[in-house]
Amino acid sequence: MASRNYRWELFAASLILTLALIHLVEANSEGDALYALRRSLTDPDHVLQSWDPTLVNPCTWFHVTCNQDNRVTRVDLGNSNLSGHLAPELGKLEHLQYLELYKNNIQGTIPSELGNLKNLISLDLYNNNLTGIVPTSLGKLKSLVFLRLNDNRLTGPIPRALTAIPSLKVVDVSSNDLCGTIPTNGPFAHIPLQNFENNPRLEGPELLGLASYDTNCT
Amino acid sequence: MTFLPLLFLFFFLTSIPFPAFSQFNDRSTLRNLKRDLGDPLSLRLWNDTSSPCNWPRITCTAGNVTEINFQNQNFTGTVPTTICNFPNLKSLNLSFNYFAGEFPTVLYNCTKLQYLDLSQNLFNGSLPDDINRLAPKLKYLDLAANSFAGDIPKNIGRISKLKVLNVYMSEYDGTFPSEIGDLSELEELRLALNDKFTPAKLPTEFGKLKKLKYMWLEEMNLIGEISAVVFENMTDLKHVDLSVNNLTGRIPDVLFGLKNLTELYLFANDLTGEIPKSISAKNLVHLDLSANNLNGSIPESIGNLTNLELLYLFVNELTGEIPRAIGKLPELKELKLFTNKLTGEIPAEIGFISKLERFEVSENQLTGKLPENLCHGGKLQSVIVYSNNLTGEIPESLGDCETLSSVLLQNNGFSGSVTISNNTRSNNNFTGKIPSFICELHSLILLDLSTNKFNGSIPRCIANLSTLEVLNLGKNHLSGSIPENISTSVKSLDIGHNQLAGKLPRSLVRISSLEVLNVESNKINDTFPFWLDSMQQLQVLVLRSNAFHGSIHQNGFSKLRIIDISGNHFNGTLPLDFFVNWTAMFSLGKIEDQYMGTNYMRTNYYSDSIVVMIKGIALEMVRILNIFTTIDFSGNKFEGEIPRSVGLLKELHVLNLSNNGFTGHIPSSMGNLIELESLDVSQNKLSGEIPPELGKLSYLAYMNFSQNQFVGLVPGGTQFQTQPCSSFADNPRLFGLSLERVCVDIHKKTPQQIEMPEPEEDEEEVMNWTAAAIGSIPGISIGLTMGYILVSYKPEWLMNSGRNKRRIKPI
Repeated sequence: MASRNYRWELFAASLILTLALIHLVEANSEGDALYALRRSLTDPDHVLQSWDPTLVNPCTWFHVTCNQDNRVTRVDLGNSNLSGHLAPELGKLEHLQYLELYKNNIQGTIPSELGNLKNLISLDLYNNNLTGIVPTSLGKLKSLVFLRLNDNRLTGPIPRALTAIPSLKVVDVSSNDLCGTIPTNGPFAHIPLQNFENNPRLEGPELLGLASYDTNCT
Repeated sequence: MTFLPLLFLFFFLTSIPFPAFSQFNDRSTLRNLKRDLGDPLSLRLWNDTSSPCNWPRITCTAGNVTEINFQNQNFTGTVPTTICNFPNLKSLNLSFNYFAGEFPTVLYNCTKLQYLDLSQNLFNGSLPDDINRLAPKLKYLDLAANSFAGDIPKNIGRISKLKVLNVYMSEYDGTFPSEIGDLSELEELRLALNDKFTPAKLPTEFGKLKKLKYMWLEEMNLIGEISAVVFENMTDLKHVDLSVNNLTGRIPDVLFGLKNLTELYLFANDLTGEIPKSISAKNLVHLDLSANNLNGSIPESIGNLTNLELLYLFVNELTGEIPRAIGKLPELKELKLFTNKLTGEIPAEIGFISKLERFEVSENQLTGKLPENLCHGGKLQSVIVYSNNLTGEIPESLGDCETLSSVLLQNNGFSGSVTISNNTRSNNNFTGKIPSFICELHSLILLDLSTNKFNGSIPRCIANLSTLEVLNLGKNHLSGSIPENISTSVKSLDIGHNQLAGKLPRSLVRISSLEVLNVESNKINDTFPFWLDSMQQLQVLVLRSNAFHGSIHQNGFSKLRIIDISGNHFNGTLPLDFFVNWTAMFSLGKIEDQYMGTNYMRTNYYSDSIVVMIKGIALEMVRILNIFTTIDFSGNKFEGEIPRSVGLLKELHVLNLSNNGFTGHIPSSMGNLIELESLDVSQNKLSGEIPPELGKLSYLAYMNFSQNQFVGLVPGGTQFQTQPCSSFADNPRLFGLSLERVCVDIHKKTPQQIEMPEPEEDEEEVMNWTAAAIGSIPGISIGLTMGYILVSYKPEWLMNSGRNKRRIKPI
């Protein structure tokens, strides 16, 4: 094909790319993690077009918020027509407080690595197409206040580890395919029942000591 | 077995037909071939009236067709079977066409072929395992730039007469065979640009290619160390390219011992260790070891490479000084050593002997002066030395350098001098000014002297720089007024962070190409430059932290995307239709092209940069995205209502109106700002409800409504719920639906717990926020009021004009 380019153009292009990648590796590990998310998502509306991994950090990317130390604290991508999967690399954003990915069309499972986000306050994954279980590792999120996973296709029981998160105020897992019983202890004592409804295999509030929490799950 | 080829030879010898008969035969064969190619227009001269040997694209020898050259004929389809019906065909060139399908095994019938070029077509599929059935005398095989996939078959190593093998730039996703090393006649091998190859080491068998002169193995997923064994006997090598792979370990000494080597490219690998000290490859012309992890110092022996034209060692970990001998290389044209850890002074000889074109040593720790004679050869185009510790004067001689187009000196300690060089290096009490000889650089396009210690006034003669597109004098100690008559070709003018006073020169209006005007942090005392609104290209206007004053009426900045007029003395009200002409922020469109660099303002060597207040912190954008938008009117004395027309700015990402005297309600039209990420209206006199429409803005990550007179309910929605309480503080009559659902105070241990300010933190300020929390349960509505005293801290930037500056390292 007559128009194909030749060596020097490629030389320059690959060099620029390589330099870019070097910066990525050296100085942008959080950007790296977010870029992994970008790669695993499909973004028909180009809401992630500003996510340029060659910048020293991701703080100037749209929908990303950093603190004074240039560490990522928020990712706001609700209502963005995103599909594809969540990236386990998100677990590396150790200062992340708010992960807002609600009202998209994200598929696949919730990466258990999200349990490493020890500063996470809000995990809003509601209204997506997520499958698989609610990872037990989410019980490690000791700062979590909001856990909204409603309107997905999640299965399995509600991990009991979640009852050990004292800060938890809002839990909504309605409209999934969860099973077992609804926890009642710890922060779950104050969660209205409507936030569990529309899970055909999820049984009423458990009576402590009577049945295993994951009955109905096999 | 050995007499089998002889048998073949015998067969061919006896089958050579008489020329006349052959020509007649070839004529009908050619007509068939033309027919099989679909009677293309380009073969219209293949008619019956002339001898086939006179037809275009045909070469005959002794009346027989021996060469067919169909290069670049736009031919499509598959290769016709008739192509081999010429018993004496030696050379077939089908390159640069649109031939498709699998490898044309029909070519096995062209038994006399010596030259076969199928490159730059649309062939796909795997190469056939029996590819060695191609003509036994084949010397030249070019399959490059197709879509061949899979493995390269082992039997390619049995086309034993091959001198040239080109298989670069395809879609191979399997392996390449070490049997290529059996091609003992091979002189040129090009496997490059096949990055889907299974990762593999450079086969030691390639070391058997003793006649190899040209080795292009770039970007083909090579791993492991460069084996010295491979190169021990390849003494004919002139060109070695192993760049853009994942090679590790040290550069073997043997590579630098290849006496015929003229080009060595090892860039963009993971090579470590030192550059070999002993270099006997004295014929090197190009040496590119850039973008590796090489350490140690630059060997003095590079100074012995008397033919060297290009030395690229940039982006490594090199330490020590630049060897003096480099300054004596007679042919050196491009010296790129940027982004290392080089120290010491730049050898004064550089540029004196050779015709230097590019001198790029930015991002090191170099000290001392710039060499006097960089442009002695009269060819110098770039002086890129930013981010070092260079001091002293800029050499006078650069003033005579007519060819110079890029001068990037920012981030150094240059002080400059107005006098003829007085040979003092020290940066004493002398009042350094920007040397006026800069004005003699008539080809200058980029001039960036930012972040130095220049003082004095900007030379008036800067008007002479008629081709200048970028002028960045920011972050110096310049004083005086801004000169009139800056070149009308300027697109980006940054004179921020100086001590410039007076007014903006009205002559700026003649710079119709101006895209960026940044005069932040000076002492400019002027009214708002309405007159700039005739500039059709103006996208970025930064007047921050000056003494601008007066009111701002409606204006027509149709391309404006970034405006920061914060920290001035503007006053008055903004008319309701204030924003109706700011159409660039209505809709920017989406950039489809994802290639790097194209999304930013300016590329190559210089990117516009800017510091913006966003989400409560000052953030430096080292490159300005073409789709970034912000309006910052904070820290002025504006009054009246926020114009309803703000709702037209659907592409607005940041809106900061804080610290003014705005009154009335927030217009509900703000709910249209779907891209809004940061909204700050704090420290005003706004009243009424926060419009519930704002609750739908799903990208709104930061908001600050504090210190106003808002009443009623805080809007619902996830974004509002995930805000700290300080975002709403000091609005005595503002209520939340349920306090802990409206704001998250991560310091709060339990609801109803009263936290007292921590005494040791003086800057924190106790705020009162009495909020009624209404817990809502379906069917029941219980109102309960809880009193809170919350500890909240105001970020420092809200309190005074000295803002928290964050720096991002430029790249």
